[in-house]
Amino acid sequence: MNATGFPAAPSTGTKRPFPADDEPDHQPTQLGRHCFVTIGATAGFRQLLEEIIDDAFLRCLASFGYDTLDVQCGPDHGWFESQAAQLTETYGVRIQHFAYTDDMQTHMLESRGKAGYRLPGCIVSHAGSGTILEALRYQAPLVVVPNPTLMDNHQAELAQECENQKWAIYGRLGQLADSVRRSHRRLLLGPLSSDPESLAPSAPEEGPPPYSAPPFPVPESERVTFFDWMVLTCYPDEQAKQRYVYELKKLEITHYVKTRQEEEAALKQQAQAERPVEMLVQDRRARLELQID
Amino acid sequence: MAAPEPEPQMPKGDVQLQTRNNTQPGAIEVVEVRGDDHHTLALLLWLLLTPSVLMGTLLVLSWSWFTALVAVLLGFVFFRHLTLRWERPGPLPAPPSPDGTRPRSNSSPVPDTSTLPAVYFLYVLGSGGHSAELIDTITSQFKGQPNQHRRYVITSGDSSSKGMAEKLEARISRAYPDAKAGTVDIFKIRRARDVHQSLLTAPWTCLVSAGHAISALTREPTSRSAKRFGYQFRYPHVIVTNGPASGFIVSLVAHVLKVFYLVPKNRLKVVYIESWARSRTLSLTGKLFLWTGIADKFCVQHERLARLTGGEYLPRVGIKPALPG
Repeated sequence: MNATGFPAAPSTGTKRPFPADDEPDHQPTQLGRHCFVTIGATAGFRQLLEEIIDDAFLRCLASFGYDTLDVQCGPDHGWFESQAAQLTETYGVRIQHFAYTDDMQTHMLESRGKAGYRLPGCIVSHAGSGTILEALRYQAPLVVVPNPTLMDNHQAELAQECENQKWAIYGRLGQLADSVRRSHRRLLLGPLSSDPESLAPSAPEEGPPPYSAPPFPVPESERVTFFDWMVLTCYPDEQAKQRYVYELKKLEITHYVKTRQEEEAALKQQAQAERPVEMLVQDRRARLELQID
Repeated sequence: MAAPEPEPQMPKGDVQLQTRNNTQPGAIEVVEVRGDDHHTLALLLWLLLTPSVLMGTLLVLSWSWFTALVAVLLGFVFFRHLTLRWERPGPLPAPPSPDGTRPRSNSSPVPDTSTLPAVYFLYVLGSGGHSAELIDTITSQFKGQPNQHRRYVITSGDSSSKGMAEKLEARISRAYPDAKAGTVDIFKIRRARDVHQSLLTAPWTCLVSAGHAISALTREPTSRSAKRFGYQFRYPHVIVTNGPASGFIVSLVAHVLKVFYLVPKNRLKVVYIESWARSRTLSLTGKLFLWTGIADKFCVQHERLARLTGGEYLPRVGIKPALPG
């Protein structure tokens, strides 16, 4: 188990077979995966809601062993309710829907999965920055779908950035099932590990360790000090002093490193200079031995 | 108020601290604008005097005098603006590395603000999404020290921001139950434009909002009175905003106060942080800040945008993608 919390997967070379589209890749011994769909609080997103109760999407979820689909529908809740009631076949996926929720954390953590309890699922979200940041904080697999009906499709910009930075999958309307499949392939690949011994090729997939909130206050080594610098600029004397102290310290360190390097270089030279003499002695001894023989 | 901590823990020197009752999250003082303070009056005087003097010139003297006076006034404002821009802080010594962590302290200096007489932040909270992002940013930079005061500026009719600020303060007081949490207050100002307000009355409400912003910037916190702290907490040091219109108004007012010598130049440093949602283009507020040049530090949170706009790159911390490869 490594920093990201997912089981290590085989490194490049031995690729694990990906599950076929229509058959489950494992026999579920724990709770099935959990999918959470959220469209945010402000605007409706009917195209996304339409697609997630599409037959193809539900079949895809079932093929990966999902058992729950939670939908936060926003203003279109009534419409979604009537659509969901007309569904004839859900392939064993339980659909829960609500207009808004105060408790995004619970839903997101369910989708994140937990070792020994639930396999990682995915969050399908509109490309609003608040939702994306929250999902990324919980380290949940995320598919981001920009809402094209919004003002000049400005959400696409952020979705593309998420895809480029490998934070999330850019989900396109009309290919949502593919996006979820892509998300699971990425999960199966696992994070790159430096230890080849730990990569058991047939390691069973399991969920990440339980979520723990980041510590507060932030540890001093990880704290961002930007605002502190800005405060220091209000006290120019103090800032100059601290900069001066820093420069001194830096000089000291560079001087120390330089002297150490010089010492090492001198030692090396000395060793090289002594080597031929040793070799000469060895040669002499060898010759003497030959003569004795 | 009785201090819960024993005597030796109190800071030395002339800095005496009023310990807050931190037990309830709702215990933060909320300041609302009651009357005008002298800065507001001074600016109103400017606003009234300038046109009347100009009109008087026009009536008594001639057009050429009028033009000359206008030119002198505009020239003064422009010159002050340029001077303030030249005196901006240069690049800061330790830009955080892209993965969010600073390099080791050997290679980068760590600023120490705990010995300063005062550290006073003013955060302008806007609507829901902006506020949540700013609260996150504050969390990643927060360090408890007794000489700190934080003021959250919220606009009327915004219910969610106050709750977020109180939640953060509750976290802070849980982490620092002693005087290290510093002091805090919330300042309520009028919002610049109501949701369905007509454009005709908008200039007036903007002016009212600007008047309130002056109060927010110049009224010293009651927990840090001049009697005990000697005007150290008179003006905020750093104003942080990330996008709402009221943030622009507060920053503009701060700049105007500095232009007319109403506030010393080493206060009211404006930090604008572009929303994380913007990775390739600037928002309208961002363009305004960049165009007017009133922000002392213009920060963006994506590397690409930083390259495009020349802003400072302030990467967002705490992003842990679940999908590798």
